[in-house]
Amino acid sequence: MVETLRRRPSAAPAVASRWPVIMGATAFGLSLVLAVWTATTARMQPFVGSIDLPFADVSTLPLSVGGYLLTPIVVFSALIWDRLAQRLGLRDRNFGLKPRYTVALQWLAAGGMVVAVWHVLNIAYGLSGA
Amino acid sequence: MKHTIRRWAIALGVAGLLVTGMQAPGQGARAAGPGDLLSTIGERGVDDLRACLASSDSLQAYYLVDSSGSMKDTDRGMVRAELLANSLRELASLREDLTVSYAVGFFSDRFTAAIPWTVVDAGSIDPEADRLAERVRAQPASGGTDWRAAVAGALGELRAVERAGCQTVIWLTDGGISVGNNSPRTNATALNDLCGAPVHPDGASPAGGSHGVFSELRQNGIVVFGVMLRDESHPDEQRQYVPYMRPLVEGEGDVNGVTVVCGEHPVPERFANGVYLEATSDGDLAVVFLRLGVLVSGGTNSAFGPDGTFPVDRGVATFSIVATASDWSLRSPDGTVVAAGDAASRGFTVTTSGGATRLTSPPLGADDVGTWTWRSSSSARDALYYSSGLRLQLDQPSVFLAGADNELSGRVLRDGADWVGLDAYDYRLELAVVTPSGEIAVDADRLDLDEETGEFTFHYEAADASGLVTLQASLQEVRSRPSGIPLASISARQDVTVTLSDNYPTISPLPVVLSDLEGAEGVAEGTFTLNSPKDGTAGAVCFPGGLAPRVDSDAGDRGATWKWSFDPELGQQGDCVELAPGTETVVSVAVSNPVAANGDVTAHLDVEYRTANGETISGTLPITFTTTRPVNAAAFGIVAVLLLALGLLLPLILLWAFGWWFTRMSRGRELLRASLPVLVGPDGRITTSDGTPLQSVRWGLDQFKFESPRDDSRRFEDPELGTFRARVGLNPFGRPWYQLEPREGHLVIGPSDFLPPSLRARGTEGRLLGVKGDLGHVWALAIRESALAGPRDEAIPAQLVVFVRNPTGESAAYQDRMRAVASYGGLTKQLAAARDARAASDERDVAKVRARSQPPEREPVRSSRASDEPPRRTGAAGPSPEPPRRSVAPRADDPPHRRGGAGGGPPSRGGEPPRRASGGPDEPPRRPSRPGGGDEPPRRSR
Repeated sequence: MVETLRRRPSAAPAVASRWPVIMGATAFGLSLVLAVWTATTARMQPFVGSIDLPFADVSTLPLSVGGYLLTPIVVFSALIWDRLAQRLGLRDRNFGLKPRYTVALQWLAAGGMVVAVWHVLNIAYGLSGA
Repeated sequence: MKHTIRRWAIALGVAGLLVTGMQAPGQGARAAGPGDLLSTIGERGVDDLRACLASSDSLQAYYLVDSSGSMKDTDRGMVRAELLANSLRELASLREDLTVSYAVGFFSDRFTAAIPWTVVDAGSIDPEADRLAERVRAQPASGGTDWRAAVAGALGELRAVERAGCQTVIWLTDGGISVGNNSPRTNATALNDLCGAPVHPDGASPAGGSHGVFSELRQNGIVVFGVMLRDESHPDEQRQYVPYMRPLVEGEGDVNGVTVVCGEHPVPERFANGVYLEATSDGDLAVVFLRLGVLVSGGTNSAFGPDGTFPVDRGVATFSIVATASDWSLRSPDGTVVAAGDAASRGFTVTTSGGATRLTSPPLGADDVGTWTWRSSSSARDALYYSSGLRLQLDQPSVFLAGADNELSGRVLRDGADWVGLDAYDYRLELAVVTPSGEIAVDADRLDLDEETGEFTFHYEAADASGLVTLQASLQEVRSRPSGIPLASISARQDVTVTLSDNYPTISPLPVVLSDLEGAEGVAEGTFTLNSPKDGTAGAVCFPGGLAPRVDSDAGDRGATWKWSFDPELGQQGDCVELAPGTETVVSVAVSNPVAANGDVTAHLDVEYRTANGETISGTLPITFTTTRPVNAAAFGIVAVLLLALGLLLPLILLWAFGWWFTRMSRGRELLRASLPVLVGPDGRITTSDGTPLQSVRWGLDQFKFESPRDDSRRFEDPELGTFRARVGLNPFGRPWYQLEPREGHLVIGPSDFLPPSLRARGTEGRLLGVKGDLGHVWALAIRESALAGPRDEAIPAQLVVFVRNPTGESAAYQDRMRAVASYGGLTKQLAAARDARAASDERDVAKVRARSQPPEREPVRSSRASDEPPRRTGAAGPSPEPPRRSVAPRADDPPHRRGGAGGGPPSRGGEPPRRASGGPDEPPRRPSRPGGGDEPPRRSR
């Protein structure tokens, strides 16, 4: 009788996941689209005193909130995900690091901050209307 | 007035030339046939502009000029610059009481506002015209023809200016639409957007509810003159889109045999119609615009007789002839012949552009009545226009009474020629009401007209007390007697307010203007008064639709959230308010909306007025107010700061916190540690304490002892090396590092990994060592600081601690590990750097002690040395137990310094141990260095 040996399938070496980058890039792109979308509705609005500032139409407030959730929240989440995953991956000596993923996500996070400022200002304008 | 009309005609003609420019005169010119210049809709557009100019003292003209690359071919000489400037001059002098302002925008791939709205008058016209010409010359011709950007830009410019009368857009282009990447779908989608209907199958449908920007222009009463220059000699890849320009401008048109409809169709009465013009060459375009100028100024096209003759009746004020040949002659009824050379001297106005000529007669009198004869080599294509010079003028009426006989008086005037009386014409004088809904009501009940003076009075009984209405008087189907020459219709409009007669109750004021509605919590308030009939009878005011005003226009989308409230007593009395004789009822009205917006709101309430006899008449009560959306600056700031903190700072803090939490020294299982005393030779070789090379020792479990399994930690204590610590900087994006801090009185040297710049000096001195995060890859030498005091050519005693992870238990792993330790080539340099750092430190200490111990008076003796010379020791016993040392200098037997490590510099950033220039034959091959960066995640060694 031949004993059948059950062998573990030889798994490919683990490498850093690309999904954080995909998630971050998607979130950044969508947020940018929302920023452009809301910007098309922007016009000079009375702010304080006689000061008029360009803000998006208040009706687009949900879009600004969505953009705010995408950048920076989701992009930063993707960055944290990537950094933690790659750092924890260090425990596996065969783990394949992808430093460029981290660099890409850092750039996305930095760009997301800029986009986020537009969303934040519009949210603040939308919520501060008396 | 004759001159003003003529100037207007000239201005439009020149304006057309401007944009298209002129090449060789007459080259390729193809005059349109006398009757095919305008479509029926185009004729309405010209009538709309004429009617507006008759009732307004202001004209705002926007020139939307194609600056695409093809314009370099159609106007190589950039002659349109001067032509446009001349056009502006003509517009400024069009009519003394007409205020003209203009603006210019260019378009190609995008819209560019070139000249903002500028009012021109006799004093500023020349510098303004020069400025315009310079701007046109400076505009480079390149790119495509993005119609959508062009018209949207022009509409934006028209919106930006406060409207003060008639508005027109002269849009000139020489090619089909080209948007963005010029893909068929992009262009078709843009066409559909402009049209407000899915007219092109390749494109996406326009947004729901949109009628397109051209329909919006028509709705705003803006007459668009769309001029397409279709020169077939120039290739145009966008030609398939050219046919869509007519339906865009006029609302309907033929595209490849199919009638295409754009915007609201048919065009409502209150809308202005557009005018589409097409020319096949620059010369043709000149002809087109010369003829268009005559039409706008009040001319009507007629045909020549078979022999070039044409009649002139006394009802004709002037006539104009547009010809494409220069060899013309004109014979008057008395036999006088006028030619090109003497036309000006005989009072004719000759305008030449693009090889075409427009001849306009002086004001005609009784002597000019008769048959004229036109001779020209191009007579078959020449066009004749008659102008009556008639104009309608309406008097500002008093308030109209609903249900009563009201009078609207006015007169027919004649500009440019002597008054001849209306008996010189066949005509129909009409009155119409242009209601807010856009419908034109029926004619007046009675008309009193004096043909001799031209004075007239309409009697009009308004059915509804509808407030402000627009009345339009028009002279239709005008023909001169006796020849029946068709002449242009004329019209004029006048706004009047319709109120009620004395036996009806009234409401005041009209409209009801409420206070501003400020914010979501605010309330707009106001009052209106229901007045009993002025004749002393009783009456009633009813609200058949209830007290629920209907909002007609609002800046925000909040139609369902309006909250109206009226005086409570009014509500208790139901829909009607009875008014006793001599009484009045003040009604308070308040409105609020939880949705705040910036803008103006207009609403109305349906009203029915009742007399004491039960007679009723309906009307509306207009209500207007302004809504604002004030911003709480404090709330804005707080929300913005909170959101920024939540969205930016919190992720950064989290990033740092997670980094700190997960940055740990990896200790793991199957970790073995060897510790043994060694000697480090001057050449950096490590031997056992008895001088045996490490490679010669049999390494195994006798030396390597298992370490007890422990969790990874940010801090480990090694009894001989010191403290291992995992560190992160304040920068959340920064790279973590792992450091070994020696015990007190010791230094640590060995292969160095990444250290932040702030710690590299300590690393050079041996007071800190950057190590890898995995303890299994670490080895280091602990050296007593005092051991460095000895001569540099003597071996230094040290304690070697080596960690290794050997999960397989193979003995070769220990041998390999120690071979790697023995082959490390950076010890000499590290030791030299540590010695130098120690020497420098000692000398600083000695200098301090000597400075404290020596009295000040001895200072001059020491000061004889150069001030920058390092302090020298006298050989006297100092506070330091160490013997005097030489300054930093490499020994002759030291190994040569390597790149990046010379002078005791810090170890390489990437954690790679310093390389030797050449490896010994007994050394294992080195791994290639890894790219390092401060922003990368922590590296591990393999």
